[in-house]
Amino acid sequence: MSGYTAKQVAEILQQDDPRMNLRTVRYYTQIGMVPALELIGNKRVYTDRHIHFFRAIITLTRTGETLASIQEKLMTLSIEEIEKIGQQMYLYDPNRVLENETLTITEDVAITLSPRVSAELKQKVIDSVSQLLRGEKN
Amino acid sequence: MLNLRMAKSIMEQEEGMNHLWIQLLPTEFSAIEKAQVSIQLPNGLYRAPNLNGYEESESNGIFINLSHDKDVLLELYTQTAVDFDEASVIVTLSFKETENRWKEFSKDVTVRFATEEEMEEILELDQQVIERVKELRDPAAGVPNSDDLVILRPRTYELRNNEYAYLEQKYRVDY
Repeated sequence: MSGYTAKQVAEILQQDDPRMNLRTVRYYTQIGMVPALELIGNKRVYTDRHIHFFRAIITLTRTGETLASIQEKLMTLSIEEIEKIGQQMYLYDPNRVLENETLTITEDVAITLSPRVSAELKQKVIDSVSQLLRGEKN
Repeated sequence: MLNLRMAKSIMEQEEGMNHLWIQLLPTEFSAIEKAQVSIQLPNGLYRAPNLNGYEESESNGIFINLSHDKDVLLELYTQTAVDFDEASVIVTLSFKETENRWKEFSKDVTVRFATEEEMEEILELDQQVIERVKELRDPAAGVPNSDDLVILRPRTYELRNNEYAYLEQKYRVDY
């Protein structure tokens, strides 16, 4: 298990979101937004588990959730589910949101496409996915 | 008139974060609409724009309306290490009582500083201030909940499969 200092955690998270600086990492830890630090040897350190929590917090704050509601939600989830939330962070990157378009195919399936995808390819993607979904129903 | 509370009893001398909760207590002046809150900070302690989203003047005065605003929440932070153990933050509330008479109320709160190692043993939290911080949206961003924000929704297209869908596919203009 890797152990990190607050500074190392801040450096890792700043690649995801420049606002996650050292003081924010420390503050979120102090106010209980992430689990208590783990004891490795005689040092209390952050682990990958904490990184997953921080990434999930960044993702959910981007969706407009308050810290109180994020804390409440994360408490009920497994670490695998928390990691999954963090993996969706890039979808809420403001630049991506502004540039990309999201096509809702059905209630359960949406596709996000960047402007680099040509109109022709976009149509093919929509047709293929729609066909797959229709096939699943039949 | 003013009640000042800090989220943390002590904060890091270097790269520390704390929140100051200014509660505006009801008084005979509570009906006054135009008032201003000013914050005087020691050198090395900084603040982000107020987290309530109130408008601020160029000289960092915070405009509030005493008839409905009940508090002001501020994020305070240090960057490079401050070389003192404690300092005062002075909060001044000013407003025009009558046509030409300005009234001012000031109150100060002591902020204590420690090294990161010392912090662990002596840190105490004011849970009510923390709860107020957690109610806000994205305090890390320091973005006020201002009406001036323009929210741009991502472009979303819904695929419709009906008898006219072929027309949409044929004539849709992608831009």
